[in-house]
Amino acid sequence: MRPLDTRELGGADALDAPVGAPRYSRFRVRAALGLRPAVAPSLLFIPLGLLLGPSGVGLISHEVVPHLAPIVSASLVVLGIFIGLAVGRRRPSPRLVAAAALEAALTMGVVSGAVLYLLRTWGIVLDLPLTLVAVALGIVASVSSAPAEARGQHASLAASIADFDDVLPVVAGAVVLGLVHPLGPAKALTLGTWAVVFAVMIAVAADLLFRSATGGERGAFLVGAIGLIAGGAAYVGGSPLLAGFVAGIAWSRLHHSSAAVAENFGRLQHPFMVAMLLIAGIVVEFSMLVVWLAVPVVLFRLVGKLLGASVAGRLVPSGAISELGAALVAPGVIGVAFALQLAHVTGSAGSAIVSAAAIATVVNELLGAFVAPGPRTA
Amino acid sequence: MTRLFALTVCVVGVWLTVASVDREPVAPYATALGIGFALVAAPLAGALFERLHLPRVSGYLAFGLLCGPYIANIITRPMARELRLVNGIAVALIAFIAGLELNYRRLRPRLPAIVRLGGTTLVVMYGLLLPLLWLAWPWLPIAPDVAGLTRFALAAVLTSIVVSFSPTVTIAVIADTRARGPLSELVLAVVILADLVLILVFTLNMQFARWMLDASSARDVSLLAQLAWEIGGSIAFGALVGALFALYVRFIGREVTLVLLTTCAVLSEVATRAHVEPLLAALAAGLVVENIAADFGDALRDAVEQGALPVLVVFFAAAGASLQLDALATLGLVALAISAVRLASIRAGIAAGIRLSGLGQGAEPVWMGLVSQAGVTLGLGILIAREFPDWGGRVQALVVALIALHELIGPILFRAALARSGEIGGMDQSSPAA
Repeated sequence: MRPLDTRELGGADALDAPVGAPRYSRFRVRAALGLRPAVAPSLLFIPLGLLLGPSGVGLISHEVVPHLAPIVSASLVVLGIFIGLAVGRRRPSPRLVAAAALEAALTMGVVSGAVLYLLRTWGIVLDLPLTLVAVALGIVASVSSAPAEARGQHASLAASIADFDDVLPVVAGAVVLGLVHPLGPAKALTLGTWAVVFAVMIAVAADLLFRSATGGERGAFLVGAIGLIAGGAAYVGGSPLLAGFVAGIAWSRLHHSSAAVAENFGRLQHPFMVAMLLIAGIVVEFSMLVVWLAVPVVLFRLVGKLLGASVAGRLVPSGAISELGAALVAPGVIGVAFALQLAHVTGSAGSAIVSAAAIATVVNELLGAFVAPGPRTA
Repeated sequence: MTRLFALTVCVVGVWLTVASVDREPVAPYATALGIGFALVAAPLAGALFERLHLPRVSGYLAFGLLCGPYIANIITRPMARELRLVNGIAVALIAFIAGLELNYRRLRPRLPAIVRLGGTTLVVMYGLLLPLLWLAWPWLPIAPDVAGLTRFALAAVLTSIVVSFSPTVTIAVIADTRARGPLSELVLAVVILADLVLILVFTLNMQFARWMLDASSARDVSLLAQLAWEIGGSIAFGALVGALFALYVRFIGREVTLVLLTTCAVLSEVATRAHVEPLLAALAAGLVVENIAADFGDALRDAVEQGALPVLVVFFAAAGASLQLDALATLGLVALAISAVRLASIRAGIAAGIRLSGLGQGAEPVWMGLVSQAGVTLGLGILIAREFPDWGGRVQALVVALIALHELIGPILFRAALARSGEIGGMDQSSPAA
């Protein structure tokens, strides 16, 4: 079984304690803020954000949303670091990486293709190129979150595939952000590369700082490093998710950071994730367009995940295909985070994507709670 | 050496990042970079200052000043502006911590003496500063041609600003040095009580000035009611939030740091929207938790420790980056002269107050804790500038110069006083309810 401290929204803290109440056993997912009955954070905080935002009681207005961009960037970095740490610390076999990448690519392809076909057939006009919208939704759909307790070899492998299928969307997301960069793709490549180099520089600097830091200082340095990596990527229009991923890999190879980051991330991840999901809920707007986008994402994601599971299952011995497919249904939070980042870069044009992504995430999380074999992370 | 190398890597990285984009970046995207840079680099400046027996918060300020738009420009103007977005949470958190340190049972025996000390200090400061500012008015770069009662009214307004103190900086220095003892409690109580009185006096003086200048007379009646709402509403709202927070810690008790920061955000935002004073509301919340609710022990202490450092670092680095050195350059001499008179009046006030209150010579270093000026002073300056753009704008510039001086000197003096009285690190030696 994989160590919990490398999970997407995990961490060996009190929130991971199993929850009781048998009638809620279907929802025996990661506790959100430790509240009982425990629910996946997406199921609690996206609707809560929706309630607080302009589509709900209006406590938080549209004008506030641009100021929340740094939180989204930082959350993406946190997620990226988790994936990077998982890859770097666990050093998965090439077959496992290939299986996870294939599964993600197939889901991405199925959803992107289906959405593109439907958008063209329905004659929907958007402010962004239809291909870009379709690919973005494909990326949103391709991520999965792993069960929190994977018992047995097959279940554990299924969880590993669910974990590592995030790597391809991270890279694809960076490409999409490059394509919509205001200074053009060529400049985006230079700046995006700089964002990655900068992330490595900060990871190394933070490692040096961790060596002599005390408890409180370590927390400040870690938040600072996250802020720097997120700010650096956002400042140049790069991908905070990719920058965080690279920093995570770097930290996993640096002896001092590896332990310090793992120790502090358990505490740090929750504020970022909660804030990010709340923001996703705040920006959700209901319209027919959003429904037209969300429904195919949910449906074709299921098809893609089952198809992906069947292919991945041939590469690694992960038990029954249906069990593997079921383990991949819950989407986690990376898809929503990427959609938010895209919406911040593209402005109002991307708001339909983030709304569709948020709705699809909630629905998929519900589906995942019913079909998944055991407790899971968000 | 390792830390210096790490800092160099960060500085070079941030500088190259800022330089790599030619256009002016969209402000929100600069925020994370600014906050991240402050969180990594400012603690190092704080640690360096601590080695020199200076307050860490001065290190954070100096870092902000050095890297800010006036000197190195690593923290650019938009970044500095965005950094101040955390001010609301920071002020609320700092005041909340202050409330947690004000234990009524502990303070009750000395409360009459504290009130006498604070009251005497204010009266003496007013008595010295008002005539001096009135006499020096023709030479002040505000409205030299004004004469008679109007001149007296404007001088009275200016005096209430010059006299004001900084609860924020006082609390921050206490929190940062983890000081506990009679001196820190005395300074905190005097600063908070005095600023409450000063806000009231300022409001009355503004009313007087309006009457003399015949401006916005329609607002006259509502002003005192507004003040009553600000004070009463702040305390009521803060007490309610404090009670809810106490219940959360008692019955759920998880993710206390996150909930504490969220509580501070709520206090700051809702208080601002409801036109009540966030500082007072947060103070009331902390007071309720400390004095009414049960002792929550380590959970709350850990939450405060984890939440306070990053917030303090960013708050003071932002303050340093936003210090307007141009105002100091233009009005430096005038500000210096006023500052010297203010310092003398604080010393005289405290000396008289000690005699009247019978607190004894142990209270003599209190004056060193009253030098800082920051948010409250600036807030009052902004109020004048908003209502009287002409001379009020010039008052604001002078206030900014005064703040720049006192924000740099004040924490150093206060830390020295705490060190002299042996209170630094006192929080680590005794439990909060002790």
